[in-house]
Amino acid sequence: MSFPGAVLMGAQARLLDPTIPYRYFAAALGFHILLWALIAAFPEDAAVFAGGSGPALAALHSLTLGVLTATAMGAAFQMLPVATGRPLRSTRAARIASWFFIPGTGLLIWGMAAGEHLPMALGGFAVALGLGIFLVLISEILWRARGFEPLGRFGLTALAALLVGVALGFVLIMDDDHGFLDQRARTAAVHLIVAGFGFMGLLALGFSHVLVPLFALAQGVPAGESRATFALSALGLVAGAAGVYHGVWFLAAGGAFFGLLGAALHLRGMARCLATGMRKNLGVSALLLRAGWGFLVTSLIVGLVTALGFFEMQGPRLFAFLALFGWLLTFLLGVLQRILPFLGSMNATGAGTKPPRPSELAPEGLLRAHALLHALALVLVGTGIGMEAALPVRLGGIAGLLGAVIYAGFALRIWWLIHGRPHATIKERP
Amino acid sequence: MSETVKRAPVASDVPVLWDSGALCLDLRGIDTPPKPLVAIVELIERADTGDSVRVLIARDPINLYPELLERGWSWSKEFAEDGSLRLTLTRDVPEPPESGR
Repeated sequence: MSFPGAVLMGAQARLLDPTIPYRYFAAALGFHILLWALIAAFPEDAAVFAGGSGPALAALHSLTLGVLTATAMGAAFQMLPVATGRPLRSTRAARIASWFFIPGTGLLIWGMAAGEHLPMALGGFAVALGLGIFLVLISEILWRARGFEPLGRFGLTALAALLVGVALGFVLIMDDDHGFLDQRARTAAVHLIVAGFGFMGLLALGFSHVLVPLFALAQGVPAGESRATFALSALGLVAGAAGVYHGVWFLAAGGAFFGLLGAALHLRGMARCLATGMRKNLGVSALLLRAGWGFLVTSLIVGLVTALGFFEMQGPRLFAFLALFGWLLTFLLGVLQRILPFLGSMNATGAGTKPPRPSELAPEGLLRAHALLHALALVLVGTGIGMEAALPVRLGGIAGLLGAVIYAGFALRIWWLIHGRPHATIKERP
Repeated sequence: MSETVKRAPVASDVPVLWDSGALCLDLRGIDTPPKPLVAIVELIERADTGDSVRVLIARDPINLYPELLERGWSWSKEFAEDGSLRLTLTRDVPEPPESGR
């Protein structure tokens, strides 16, 4: 006699202890609320941000480390072993990484907001330790799974970019106290490009090769197309970072141009997956994924135009905002909308109980409300940055904060439906 | 022993086989995600598939189970000596409506 509950127990042997990915996701939800709260509370700082410690830098790292990187860590620990069939070498190490990374991010953000060097340095050190463990664990899986070309190629390069991004971040923290960098602003810009487009961006492109066909139930992207996307994206990344650091603006513009070509090729493959997949209705998450891709293209166009000298200070600010908030955050929220109910269903099974269906765990109304508020926040904050005006930034921050609270409610509801209530017992078949 | 039946392939090129009275997919040579998942879901969504499907697969398709739950299918599995997995998928019988007093 078999029933889903009992059989899924076998599958669970290959799933991680859910507290490992969920601790990273829970941290991401908390930092998501914090980042919008910081923007709403200190809109003047965000509207004219040009580097240096303060609430805007804290909000930026609440997004990049707290939300984007924490989610990437949870998703990578959970999804890569499932996708590749290569188990995580040490689950204890994945837990230890969270003990360094999550409190370290909190301390770093506190130090940045308050402009205090010691918590910034200690937090940065703890974050680097946590990311170092993550890097070793994940690069080991990707190395053993080199046969999975897109994951290996994009993933290993993303991890190399993470190493460079962390090193540059640490140099910037040290420079904050000692002031030894000649080109601090350019170093900070390269840190943003390498961490945002190199680490998070390439990871997002690589994961998309598995996740988007999985969501849409479609064939994957052809290998040749994937290789071309990778080559163009990597070329754009290197040219963009080198051009910005050395102040060679036609090289930086060339980087943005190659990045645009890579993005166009990637989006063609993704659009084909969505169009040909068996699952036509991906709900609100498809809206967020498409909006995120739109922002990827927009950010690269703004980067190109800025490198050609058509914008003043608003150019770099808008470029960073469109890439980090518009592309990466929107895309990630769309992905998480599908992953959380899916993971919840996979993790929900105990002996003799029937797991809930993923669709039962994802209420459309809540997700629509979040998407609307998120869109409003992006428009208002983007307008405020463009006009260097605090009021739209504050209103956008409030909309984003409400949306983040709703999103956290969506995730908590899943947790409650899985862990907080008794499940219906499934009837055995005669 | 599985034999090929006259059915269109699933996931563009995966042949549909016949094994012990049920349609069957041999996915042991396919390791590129999400092709095994797409092949199985495409087969069980076909109108003429019947109520039972067998699948031979190299490793446990964890991502498949939520999709089966959504579509009202159950599953059982047994491991072969070579470490591969034999899944038997069965369409759930709709529960009869509760009778009134």
